[in-house]
Amino acid sequence: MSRLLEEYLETGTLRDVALVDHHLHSGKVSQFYTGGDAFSQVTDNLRRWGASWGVVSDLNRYPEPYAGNRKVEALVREQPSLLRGAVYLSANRPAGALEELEQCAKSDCFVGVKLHPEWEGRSLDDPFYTEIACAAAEYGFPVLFHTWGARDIALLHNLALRFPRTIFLAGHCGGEVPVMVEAAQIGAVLDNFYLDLTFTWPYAEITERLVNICGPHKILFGSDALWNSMDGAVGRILFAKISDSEKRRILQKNALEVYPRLADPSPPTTE
Amino acid sequence: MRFIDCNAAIGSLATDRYLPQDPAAFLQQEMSRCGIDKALCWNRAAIESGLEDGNRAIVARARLFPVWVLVPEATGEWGPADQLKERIIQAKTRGIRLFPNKMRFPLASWATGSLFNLAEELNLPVFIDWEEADACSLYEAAAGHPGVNIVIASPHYRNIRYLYALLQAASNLYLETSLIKTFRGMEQLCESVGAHRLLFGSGMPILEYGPAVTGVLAADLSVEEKKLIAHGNLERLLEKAGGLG
Repeated sequence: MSRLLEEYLETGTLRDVALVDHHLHSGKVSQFYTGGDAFSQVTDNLRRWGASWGVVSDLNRYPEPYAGNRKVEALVREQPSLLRGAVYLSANRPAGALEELEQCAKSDCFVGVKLHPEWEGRSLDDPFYTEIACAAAEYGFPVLFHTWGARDIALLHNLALRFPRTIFLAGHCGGEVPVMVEAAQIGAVLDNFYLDLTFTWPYAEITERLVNICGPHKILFGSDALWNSMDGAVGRILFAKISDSEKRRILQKNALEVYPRLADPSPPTTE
Repeated sequence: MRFIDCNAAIGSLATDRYLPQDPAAFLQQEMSRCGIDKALCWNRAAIESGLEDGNRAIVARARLFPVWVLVPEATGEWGPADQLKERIIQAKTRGIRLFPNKMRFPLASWATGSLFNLAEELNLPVFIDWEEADACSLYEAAAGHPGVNIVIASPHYRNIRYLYALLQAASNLYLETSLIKTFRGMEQLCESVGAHRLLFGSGMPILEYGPAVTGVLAADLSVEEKKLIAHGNLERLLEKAGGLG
């Protein structure tokens, strides 16, 4: 049996790998009922799993533009040794987006960018996202795009070809099994194209299939908490029929490579 | 922790593309690998390639207990009711599964009443996938047959507000846990309706055991609550039907 799995079953936590959950959400959720009414529950959950880092974004629309990023900054300052932010920028509020990105890059609270075309009723090839994807590379920020479906993956593929200096993360691996396989095939070829395993349905053996196609070094662990379950997400990796070194890569090492600021963090400045 | 899976299957459909070649062997291998003690198992082929053959293909064995897929009596597809009852008993069936949507029949009492009566007589739970019936039909089935325990299988996590309302409205409704994937979903459901209403399930071989198992083990619940979900509740529901011995 996998030593990591054995350790978990014995101790209820992971002592041999300090996982990085690079896909967290903060802010209230109304569309469906979730038990996460306070982000402190997410940090508690991260600690129960012995996590080293969580990367969080806030997609909610507040009266003030970029208020979500300020809320994320506040969370990071409360938990500076556990949390970092992903800058959320909306195509529906484009004014000042590049300045916001620059400001976030200076703050040490942020390590990447989160973009969500579907949330905004937009297409992934909207010029706004193209501009942000290009600019993100200047700050060493990888860009996590929400993707769901073959069209999203095809458009992200185009972006990755067009901007080779930007690291692209295909959120949810494109969501559906055949699309996930296509995303892995792209990941196998393009150095700057990674798969985010967050909240794909736990189809039997899909993790193993993706590892076989693109290699364990191209897949990142995420949970979608406080929308979705972190416990179930970790279970997918722990129980997968891959080696412990591959599990460690997915749970931790890949994120430290993709997010350079996590590997070499500066303490966030105080307000 | 001992786990008994109430939502496993064997068999293939024409549309299956990524499933293992031999789902039955795969299921049993994965049960052993992931520490699953026993499973209730239905045959996916029954909904596409013949009810009788599909049901009969699941032979009760040491760790697998059949769940039969049935349709309303009206079309006479399963023969006389008394013979069906005998066949169900002989096959050591431990549940009945209905697919009103895929197999195109109404869940309403005027169509399925005799099936629920049979389930009540044999003390068998009735499993219905969330996507197979609307919430109102599920409530009416539960309210109309208070002596039958109905398990909502594979409930989509984003429909959890429906599920709370249903479980609060009908005490004979239960939830299978494979797709309870919202953050702290398990904990909140236990707080609201009680751990005694949740049954561990996997969705195998479409879905996998890992997240289903850690979803229970890692939940912020007492050991007693986890035991109820992992195996205790299903064992209690099946006590009068012959248990899982």
